[in-house]
Amino acid sequence: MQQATPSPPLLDVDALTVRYRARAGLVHAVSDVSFQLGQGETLAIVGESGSGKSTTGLAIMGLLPTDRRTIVHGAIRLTSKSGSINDVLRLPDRERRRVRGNDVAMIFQDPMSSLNPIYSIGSQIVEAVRQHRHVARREAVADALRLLAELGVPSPDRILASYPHQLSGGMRQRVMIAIALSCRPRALIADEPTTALDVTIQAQILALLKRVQRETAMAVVFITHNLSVVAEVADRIVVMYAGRIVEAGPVRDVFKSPRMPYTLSLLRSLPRLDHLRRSGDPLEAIPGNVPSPLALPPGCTFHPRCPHQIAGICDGPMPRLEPCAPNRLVRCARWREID
Amino acid sequence: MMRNWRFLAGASIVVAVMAVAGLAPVLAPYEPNKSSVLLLQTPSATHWLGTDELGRDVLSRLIYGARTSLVIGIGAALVAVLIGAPIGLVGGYFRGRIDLMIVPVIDLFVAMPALLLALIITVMVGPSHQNLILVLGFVMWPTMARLVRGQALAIREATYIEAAVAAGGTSAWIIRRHVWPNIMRIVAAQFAIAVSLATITATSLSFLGLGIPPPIPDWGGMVRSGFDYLALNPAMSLAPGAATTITVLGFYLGGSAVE
Repeated sequence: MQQATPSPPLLDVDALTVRYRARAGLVHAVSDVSFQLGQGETLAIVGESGSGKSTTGLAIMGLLPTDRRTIVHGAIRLTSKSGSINDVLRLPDRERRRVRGNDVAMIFQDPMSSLNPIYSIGSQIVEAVRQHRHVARREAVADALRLLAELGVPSPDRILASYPHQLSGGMRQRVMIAIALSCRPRALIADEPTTALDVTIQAQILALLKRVQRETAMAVVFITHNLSVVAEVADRIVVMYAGRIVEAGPVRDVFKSPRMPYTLSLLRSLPRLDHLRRSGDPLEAIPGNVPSPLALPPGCTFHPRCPHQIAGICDGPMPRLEPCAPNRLVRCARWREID
Repeated sequence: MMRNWRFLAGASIVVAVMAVAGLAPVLAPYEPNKSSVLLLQTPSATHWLGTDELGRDVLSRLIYGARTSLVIGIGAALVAVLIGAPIGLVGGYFRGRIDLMIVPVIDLFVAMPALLLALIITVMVGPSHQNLILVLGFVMWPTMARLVRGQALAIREATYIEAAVAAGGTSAWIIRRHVWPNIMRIVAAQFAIAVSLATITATSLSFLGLGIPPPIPDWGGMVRSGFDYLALNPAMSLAPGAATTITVLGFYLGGSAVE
């Protein structure tokens, strides 16, 4: 027997692979993605559109389509409130619905369309509360009011009575967060929650999420393409490219010394105020396009766009995701040579 | 503004026809089925629209006929919604194999001329109030199903549906609480249009002798029996014809203004 086994992670994504059978062929949406997340931790999944980050989020929620065109391998183990560990991918429908919203909740990119236009905010929060907890309507309303107050919403009773179109984007996202938090989930998937908002509102929402997380010790998976947001909220970062993890580690370390050329290019393509460019200097862009998930290049999927690629090595076998420093993983055949 | 005008016009006609149907015993000057010796009178002060070939007061029959028309039109549209809406919701929301089975059936029905289909079925089952309602509803459900399916297809893609799934809602609950309420307004509009179509089809069937059996007053039957006496009392045909037109127009305007 092992002594002092560390408590199992709250969320354990283990070799998740998602493929879609499309008419044009097999779409490699997510390949062999693994990561763990403990209580109170924030993990950022970063990547361009089509990198598989959103699919990963949907898989954690058990929201992937269940038809025969979707092929899912791996496991997503989630520790529920009762302490039991469930594989979200293998739960029967009923159980899976109990997990959703209750153990793990989600907020979406577009707060404009994530609320049903025909119901008042109040009835939508109350509905979410009563989905998983059998409480009286009045109690649920009190809950909703308290939630909104906690989230720093001014005059919550007025907000409860209003309809989605009467609220600003930031307020709607606050309402979505309230709905997501209504059942006190242990994990929250935030899929680009601030992308559709103004920058000042973005900062408010991020601060809000951080505060809520501190208070509830919730684990957060933050899906984004915005690296400045990552620096703001996350403890650890997972960089995805063409459905695979290409680099992972603590945010600070990865930002300071990225090992994978793709991460480096991503960081370089950020406009920065402390590196004043001469006016007219273009931002550094990554040449080429994300490969089609229908036809991935052989070897390292990034090599056709990589400034460090060497024929014979980078287009050979797919490099493994290997440790390159404590707590850090990188997928690059040449990470030792590049610095 | 234009749509508003259309809706108001349509709604006032519908309300007027409903009032006439509801107040028929008060409004009608005579018993609708009581015959007299005064056959085929032209319009006069005592019989505003004259009398028919059995000496019945045409105006009274016209007023009572509004009931028949409304009952059949609204009943048939109701049947169409009751069959079409669930089928459309299921197809549009679940898509996949169920939808693949539903769509060709809808297309098949939509491709067939409604009147002809109604005619054939009515010949088989025999004309009566109840049969007419069922047959017309049966002929019209595919249009309703197609509309609902299209709407459901669009709404199921909304983020609030995804959010509802993410919150742990069952499909039945999501359809009931989130999809259907968003479609209801358009279904209500289509309902009014269905009433107008049912009314016109029912009248056509009656005119062809397959409508409400006599002596119940019914506009289609009145147009038909008046047809033989056009020279003697043209109001016998023209009045119920006009009443049908106005009623159909009312429902159609009301429905299309919302759409």
